[in-house]
Amino acid sequence: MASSKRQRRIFHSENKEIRKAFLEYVEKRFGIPSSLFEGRHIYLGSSGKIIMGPALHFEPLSAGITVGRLSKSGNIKPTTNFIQTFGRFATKNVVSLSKSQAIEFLRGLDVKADCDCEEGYVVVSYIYPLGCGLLQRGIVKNMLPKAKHQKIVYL
Amino acid sequence: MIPADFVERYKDITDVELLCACLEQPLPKSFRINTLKAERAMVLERFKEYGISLKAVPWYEDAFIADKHDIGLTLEHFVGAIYVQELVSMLPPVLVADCLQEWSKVLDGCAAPGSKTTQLAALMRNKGLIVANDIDYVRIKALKSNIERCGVFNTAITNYDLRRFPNMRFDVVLLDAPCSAEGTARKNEEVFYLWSVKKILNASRLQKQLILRAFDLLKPGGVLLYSTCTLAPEENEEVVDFLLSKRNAYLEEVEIKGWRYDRALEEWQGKRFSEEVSKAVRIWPHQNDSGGFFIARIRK
Repeated sequence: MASSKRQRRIFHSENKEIRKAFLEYVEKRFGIPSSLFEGRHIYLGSSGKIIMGPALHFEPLSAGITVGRLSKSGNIKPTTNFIQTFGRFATKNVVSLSKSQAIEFLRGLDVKADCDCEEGYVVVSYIYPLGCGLLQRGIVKNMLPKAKHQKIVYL
Repeated sequence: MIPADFVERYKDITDVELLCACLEQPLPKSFRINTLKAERAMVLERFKEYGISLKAVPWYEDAFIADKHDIGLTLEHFVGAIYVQELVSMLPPVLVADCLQEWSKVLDGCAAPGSKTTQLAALMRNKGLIVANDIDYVRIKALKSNIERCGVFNTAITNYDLRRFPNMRFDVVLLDAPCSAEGTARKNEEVFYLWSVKKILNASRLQKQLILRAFDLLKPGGVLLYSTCTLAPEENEEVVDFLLSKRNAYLEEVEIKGWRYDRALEEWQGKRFSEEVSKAVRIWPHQNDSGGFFIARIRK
């Protein structure tokens, strides 16, 4: 079944190479076990999008969720939606915020981190995993998409 | 302003004064907990801390009515732990929950913006396959965004006119058909500005084509859940009756614990429907302080 809007074949077969690289990355970086992703397929979409979705025998318009992005240099960046869904299983490189820091982070601001995380992408957490941050020299750079910046009244 | 023709149409089949009084009231704010992302107990504890009182419903353990209207400004909404959704809109997935298995293939024929798709995914625990189809490419953006926000991995999105959906076979098909939306008047005042009998008849013609295709996409033994958010019998009983006259389909009795509802009409404006049709239900807004809805469960 070909999609009516896009003919490019992304979902006809799983990308085993990307699957291995992505699962190794999240296990090594965040301690999120690969076993959580059994039965899910990984596809490589346009612009280096790493997509996790169901096994498919046809080409839909889109499927599943974009869980990461692969840069031209081969680095992987996890998405906000991936962190919000699986961040609760992370055992390392998690930055826990105070309530006032969480308010700032949700508004799109960078926050100071007082933790022993390695530099690089981190799970930013307050009660729930909020999204992805980039830890550099003690500052967590805000990686929330602009469309998600908002003032939360109840937290 | 409720049109006089609207009142005239329904005065013989329900208490139209109660109906009109109800349609002028705002809807209660309801939501469901997205169990794909959060534990129910944790979310409930957080709402307690916010001072937002919640009322549970007897027919679905993840659905709640809140006493405040700004629940979209909670942290839980931001992280996708809750999904703001009208109570009647939660009924179709709940009414096919007994047919959902880990290997099920489900089609949501008119899926955008994805309330029912994401609820189906939660009921299926992100297993199996949901094909979420919608004809409107612009509305698919909202569908995609809700799927991402709710952490739904078992869904593929397609952009077909359902009448020309490619040949595939599904265990369950949800057809929440495009309709004149009379039952949504409490949240959308425009409904009555645009209301006309002609609009109802046009919707009915389209729904008859959609229900045939939706039924043909079922595996033998599969279940089609047909629903609309309108009160118009032309878009409800008449559409189901049309399917029964064209295909070898039979209805299963719909029962919803804790809801007040009427059985589907046996006749409308002199036209008599098949007896089978009365196994479907129509929910009037004033019966449960909700939106209006019609639901039929059809087996192939």
